[in-house]
Amino acid sequence: MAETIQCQVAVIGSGPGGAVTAMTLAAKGFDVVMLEEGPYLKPDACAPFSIEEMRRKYRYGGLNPALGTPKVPLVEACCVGGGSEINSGLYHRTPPDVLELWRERFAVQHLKEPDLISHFEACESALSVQLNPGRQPAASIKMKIGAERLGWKTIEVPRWFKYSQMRAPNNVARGIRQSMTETFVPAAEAAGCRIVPGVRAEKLERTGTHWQVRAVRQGDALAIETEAVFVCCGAIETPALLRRSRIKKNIGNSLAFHPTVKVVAVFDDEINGESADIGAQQVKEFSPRVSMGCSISSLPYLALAMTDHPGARVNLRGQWRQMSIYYAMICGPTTGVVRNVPLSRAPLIRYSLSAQDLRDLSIALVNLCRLLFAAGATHLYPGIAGLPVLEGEGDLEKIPVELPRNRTSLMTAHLFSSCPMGQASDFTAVDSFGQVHGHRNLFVNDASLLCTAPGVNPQGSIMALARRNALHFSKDL
Amino acid sequence: MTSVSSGREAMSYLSKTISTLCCDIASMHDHSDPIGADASYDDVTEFVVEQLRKMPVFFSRPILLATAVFGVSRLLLEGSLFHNRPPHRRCLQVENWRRSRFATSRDLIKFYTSLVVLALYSRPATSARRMEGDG
Repeated sequence: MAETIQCQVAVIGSGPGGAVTAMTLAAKGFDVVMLEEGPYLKPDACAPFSIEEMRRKYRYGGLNPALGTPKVPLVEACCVGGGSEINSGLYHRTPPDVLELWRERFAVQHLKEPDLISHFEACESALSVQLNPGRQPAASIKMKIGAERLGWKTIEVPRWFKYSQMRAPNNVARGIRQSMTETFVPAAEAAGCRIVPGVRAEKLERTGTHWQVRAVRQGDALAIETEAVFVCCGAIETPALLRRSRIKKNIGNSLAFHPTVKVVAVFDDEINGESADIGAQQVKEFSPRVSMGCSISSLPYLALAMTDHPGARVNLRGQWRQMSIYYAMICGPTTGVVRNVPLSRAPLIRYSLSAQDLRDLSIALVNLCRLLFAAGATHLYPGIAGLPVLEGEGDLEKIPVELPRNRTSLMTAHLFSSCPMGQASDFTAVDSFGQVHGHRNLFVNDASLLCTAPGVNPQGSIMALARRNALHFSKDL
Repeated sequence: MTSVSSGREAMSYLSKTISTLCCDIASMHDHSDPIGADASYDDVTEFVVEQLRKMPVFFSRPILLATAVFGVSRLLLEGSLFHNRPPHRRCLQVENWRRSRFATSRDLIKFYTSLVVLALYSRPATSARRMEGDG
């Protein structure tokens, strides 16, 4: 006999979408239970961007790539707090032109910028979103220098970090990431939400006017009986759960991400240090299609990036402080598909990039390399196996006009759009406020409902929409 | 009993292949100890095996199958399994598969290399003192 939990609202998933949903509804007086498949770890349980973090917080160890050519490693979290516990903390509001696209093509109602401002502001306040009050990491400053020399638009992106008043040497400000476990999760608990980690939701079933979440906890069956369900498992696991529950219309057919190519840059001066802080400088000259920025550049990640260049004469342990990784990403297409596989817990993800996508990535990579040379880089190692080292602008012609599918290393940490919202029900999965078409009191409230790739770090959009939708639900009920 | 012992032998063979392959890739990338005195890579192998266990089964099984093929390839020419060959012959095979015109071969080596390198360079810089001494 399965253990049973009863509540008014079950929130499945505790990442940015789930945590905001749970806190918002609990604060409104709803009896909320938030389920999370992964463990509840303290924010400082492991060093950020370390292999210990991969072991403890990454779903499938970070090894469930999207099948396509090339394969793209997808990074998903599986722990309380979700992606907010492992990402860079960079914050953007949804660009107005993206909102306009979603309104016009997907018929999303009440989605003008004024409709979202209060939600952006509430989340920004809760997360202490701010610019770095101290000195940016040197690698970030290089990006700024390069962009300014080329006359390109560049911004410092705010992050959801709380900074200490004290400064380290060189005016570097130490910050604490304001992830969900630092902010919305404890706030939800304080408002009365019950958080249940280590629970995997297997299926959703309608029982009369209520829903039942069939789940498993440490091998034992668990049932959650609830009036409403918010599915917030992320852009891959949300459609996977809905499809296991035989809810399939426009579910898992339009996964999008930001295909990203990286470059290792070597400078004469030291730009990298022991801190795993990521630079917040981004180049927006080619937005919305292309964005460039700084990537994790710890020694292990540098070594990983250099595996595309095994013949390179680089003494990693001796030179890594002069090296940093930068990325160029494009706003990707909605061609990804998420499907469950018999006898497997993990869904299979397929996607395709067009020849035009690969040409746009090539142009983005060339421009990134130009910027880095302008910033003073002496050697560049793009993520293309077999490409010789680039030592000056004259070498940029060595980058293929269309990135080679079989030799390019792409990655992404941004996943969305697998259950797009909107009133255009021919190709949307949920309505303007996240209710699954044809299923009363069943909602999606995470990155899945973003209609297309937003072209910016998505967490700000996810959280604002989650708050908007949760408040809309609370008024309707 | 026969199928059980065959299964155990197969796992033992696979474990030895993975362990030897990880150690070879690690030593090819480990410039912190050129003398090779500190050549234990058990922690690296352990990380790789742990990651393999976490992977979706529809990825891990083909990788293990490819690894098994890797281990027996050139058996007729070399007269021994991969893990029983001398180091320089093993490194040659790794390099040949890395450069192969077959994507499956390249992907296999890339998979192991990525994990090995991550684990190797995540080690505390105990060898850094030796590097500083080298100047």
